[in-house]
Amino acid sequence: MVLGAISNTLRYDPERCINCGLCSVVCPHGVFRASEPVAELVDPEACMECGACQRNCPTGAIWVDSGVGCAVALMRSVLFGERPQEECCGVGGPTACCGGGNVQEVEPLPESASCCAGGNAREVAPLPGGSPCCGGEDAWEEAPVAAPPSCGCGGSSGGCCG
Amino acid sequence: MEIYRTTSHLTWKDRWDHVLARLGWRRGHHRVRPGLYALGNPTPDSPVFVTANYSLSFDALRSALAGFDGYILVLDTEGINVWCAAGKGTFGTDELVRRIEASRLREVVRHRTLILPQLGAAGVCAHEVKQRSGFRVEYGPVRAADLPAFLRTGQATPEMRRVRFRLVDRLVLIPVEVVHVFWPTAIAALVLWFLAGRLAAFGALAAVLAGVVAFPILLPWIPTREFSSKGFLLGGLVALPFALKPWLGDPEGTLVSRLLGSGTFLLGLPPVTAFLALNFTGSTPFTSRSGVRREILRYVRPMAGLFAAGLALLLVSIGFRLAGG
Repeated sequence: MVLGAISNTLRYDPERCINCGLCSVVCPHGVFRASEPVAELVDPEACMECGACQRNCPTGAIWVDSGVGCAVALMRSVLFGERPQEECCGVGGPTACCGGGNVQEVEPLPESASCCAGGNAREVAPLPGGSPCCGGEDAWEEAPVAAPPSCGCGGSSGGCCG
Repeated sequence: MEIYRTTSHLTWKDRWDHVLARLGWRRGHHRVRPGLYALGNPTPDSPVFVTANYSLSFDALRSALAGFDGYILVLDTEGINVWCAAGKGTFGTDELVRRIEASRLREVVRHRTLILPQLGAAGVCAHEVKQRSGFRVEYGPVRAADLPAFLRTGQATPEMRRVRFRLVDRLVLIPVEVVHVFWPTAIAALVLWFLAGRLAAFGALAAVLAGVVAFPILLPWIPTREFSSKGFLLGGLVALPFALKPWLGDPEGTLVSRLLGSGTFLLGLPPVTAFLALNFTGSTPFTSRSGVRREILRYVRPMAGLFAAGLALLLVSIGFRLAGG
């Protein structure tokens, strides 16, 4: 069962955890705690989406949308109705999964969809890491997860699949 | 490859550089030459510390290591601090592996361990570094000042692993915030002074100072969670005396002029403070991108609307005054 936060994009799949302990070491906000038999997600809402846990998780058990968002672009879109790229996650991506746009309203999709982790529950849709394009141990190099901020999409449709 | 030498001693020149950096003077120019540095008299068994080539980062590290011998591997982060550079990826796996090769670190030390600042983890993938360079990444504490304790005990306490945002951490950010808004504010205040009078100029000044000085100081004590609503609260508080002035300090004012005066301040000032407060999210160590995005979607339009309304009232009252002589 994938765990997550309501107010941010952090997702954690305890079943993939090998308890290396790095997530609880790198997190500056005590979101994870070293525990047995796997790392424990103790304070998901404190996550600031820096991405350190995801980057150092050797099994892809953690996912978070950690790109550097462009606040100015977002403000312009809010004020002038321009639609910057980062507003929409589906641009050119393989799956148009984020129709709603608002993470709180997106229902978790069936497991095949692999993106659009709905933001509402502690238990959410599968990690995007399971999809062929994102995540996995070697995805970091070419995948600076440039997905749009928090549109609830797994990020697989944005930056990393190109 | 040359090994540079450094010490734990900070000169007055270093300290002056820190002051300038804190003022935002020539941002990106507070750089250290990337490469390998010897601190004290290191041996092939001495620890290797990794940092960014921002002078504040490098100096925090070397001054914290007073009395220790070791190597400091400075990555080229283009003069950006560890955490921000890690977020951008310049303090990252690729640059670290490249710098290990370029400095021939393998020939300099016998062991295969690197001590990285914890906040560098956002850019560095420890298992990939191991795989590509043979060096094991060990994440030290968040703050360089905790390194001596970390080196003595071999581990970081939970306290050392947490970022803090205490009063002093917030105070040092204020100068650069003030510098950023200085010219726009000065020009706006001057224009207001001549068009609308002293009170309006002071009002604008107060709203801006509330956003860039009072807000960082009072941050944890202002109720509500979101920065924008905190900013609106603070801005409203600041606007209040200005809005009361036409009713208390101006016995000859008409009802319309009083309403216009109050409305201008009540509508125009809070969004200014709120906007600056929203901007401050980027300087804190705990706001998430999702949170900022949510705030922008929720608050930026009301901010612009209120500000425009305040401005409209201001123009109307200026028009009235010009018409009335």
